Amino acid sequence: MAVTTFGSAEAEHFRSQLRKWLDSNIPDRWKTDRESLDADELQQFQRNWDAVLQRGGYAGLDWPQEFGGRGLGAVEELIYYQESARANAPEGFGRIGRVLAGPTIIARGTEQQKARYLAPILDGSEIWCQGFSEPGAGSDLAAVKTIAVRVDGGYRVTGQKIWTSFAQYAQKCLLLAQTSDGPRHRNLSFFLLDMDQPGVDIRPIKQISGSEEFSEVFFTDAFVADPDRVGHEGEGWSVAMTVLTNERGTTEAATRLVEITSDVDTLRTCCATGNSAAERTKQLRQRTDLLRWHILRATEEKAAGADWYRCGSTLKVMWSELLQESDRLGVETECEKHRDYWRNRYLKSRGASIYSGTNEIQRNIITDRVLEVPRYKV
Amino acid sequence: MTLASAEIGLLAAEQVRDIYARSDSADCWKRLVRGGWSGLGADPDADLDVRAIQEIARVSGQFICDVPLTTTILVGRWFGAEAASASGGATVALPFGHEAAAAPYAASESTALIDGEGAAIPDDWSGFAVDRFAEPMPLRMVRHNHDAKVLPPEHESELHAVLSATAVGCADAVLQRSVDWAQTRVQFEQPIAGFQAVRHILADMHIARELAWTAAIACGHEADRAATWSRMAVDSAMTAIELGIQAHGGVGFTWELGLHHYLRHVMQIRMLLSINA
Repeated sequence: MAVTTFGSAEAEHFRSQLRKWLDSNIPDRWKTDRESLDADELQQFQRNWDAVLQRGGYAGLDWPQEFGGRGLGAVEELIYYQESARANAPEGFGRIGRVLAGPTIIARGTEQQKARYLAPILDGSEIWCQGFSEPGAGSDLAAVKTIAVRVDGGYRVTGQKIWTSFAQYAQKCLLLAQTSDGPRHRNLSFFLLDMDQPGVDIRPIKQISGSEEFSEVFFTDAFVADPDRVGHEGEGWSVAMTVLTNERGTTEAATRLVEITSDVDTLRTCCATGNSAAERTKQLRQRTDLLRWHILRATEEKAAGADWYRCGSTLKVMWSELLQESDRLGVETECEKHRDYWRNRYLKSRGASIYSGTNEIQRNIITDRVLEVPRYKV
Repeated sequence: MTLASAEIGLLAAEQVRDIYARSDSADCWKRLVRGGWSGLGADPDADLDVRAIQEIARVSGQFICDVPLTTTILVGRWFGAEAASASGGATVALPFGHEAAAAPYAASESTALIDGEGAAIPDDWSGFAVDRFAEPMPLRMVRHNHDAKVLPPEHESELHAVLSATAVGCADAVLQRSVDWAQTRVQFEQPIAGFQAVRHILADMHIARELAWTAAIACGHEADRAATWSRMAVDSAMTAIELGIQAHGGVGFTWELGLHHYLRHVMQIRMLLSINA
């Protein structure tokens, strides 16, 4: 496939079509009054947006055409997020499916898995969650203790996952579980598990913002069939790394760019009235622009074959800190119109440097794998 | 648009690196001239763009060699071979306050000072001060008494992009030295690279250096915002170097170790680019 470059006629044509499409498809209330939406309304907006994207042909831009995507490249994907940021478009609800599950199934799944799962991801009709972290396996993900025991035709899964976003809405779960007592990293397998079955108990966790976006998930002899294992037994860690590649990659950073741009825009046009707040907002805008350029650069390097971790960890630290600083400034402005909005955004943003691999883990990855400094364990 | 450098920039940077690595400063310039590297900007076959010159500038920052290579290449690019032909290379002056202008890499009178229209300024330099705060990058202060001495904005923005890349090179060198040091220096019976606190300093240096490089690249692409981007690049490079001094502990802030040369170089670039920005 020919790779489109930034600024080429193809890329600019794509951009102008998209711009027109966004202009006529973003709901009016989202444009003018999105800060007033309550949690349920917000979810409904996001779910509707999934369907609108699919109808417009903008879901799965970089997915191959045979799987319902547009077969375009990372450049178009990034242009999509740039323009969405510019137009303040909503974010879809089926993000875990589109960004994590879909690309992993395309890269590592069987033909049967692709046929069954990809289409409902694209139209937003099936929501996915990510069953990786456990109470005893947070930063040390390879220490997962959830166990999948072989039975006739599949596995019985028992254990506990935690910090599982979207679990209470999800039909399917990307599950990492132990299948043997073998050595670390080789004792795990990767499954696509049905959430809608006996033996799956979901308890939402209330976060500091007051909302419930994460859950604990308890599995008690939950069943997953053989055809729903991704990769061979014992290859779970490697499949999980494919997922994390996407979670910490340019697409994720680009979706965050959309969020941050929108918040900084709110600061600029409304809340940051004093000199000091205006100056800080100006610097945040500049850094948001730097994030955009950095994503552009990482996208290009990725297309040229660079290892994901060379840019992924830097990107994650960059967007999470920028997000936190923007929302912190939001709270500090004491803007009456946006008070509730900033309170919620600020409290929510505290998680950004913790989830998707804490920023400390990202710094470990940079020193271990990018700078290649040995660990010197004593 | 592509953000990566054309092949010519990577090749030239590699060759220039080789010369810097093998020469002391006395014969470094001779070798660069003899190899044709100082004339690259005016060479129509080389067709060097700013992004490619940034690769050379980055290497120059890594070695903080006191030669006017990048300014000579730029002068050749803007005004042709003749303007860049002085034996000591060429440089240009940027406005510096109300009545002065400052020219980087202009310690010696054999380095031609070129005005904004490509003509050599015949000033007798002996009467003017040289700021030697950063030894490899002396700034010669000159009076700018006629407008032609001032670079037109399109050239000034390119100088911003190139000097930003030089600052990133300084950060590269300090990061590499810090990575090496952390693996050599032993405390509590182990190399300090075994301590996460030190490892995270190295990671933060990497992040700051990468962001500086992205800002330098953006600087080359958005001429109308060059001053803002160069400020970001240089500030981020400075942050990386500060962290490198911290990673070196007690020896980090000694004169003898020499990390200050990189910091001074970046401080000098910052001052030159910021004064009227």
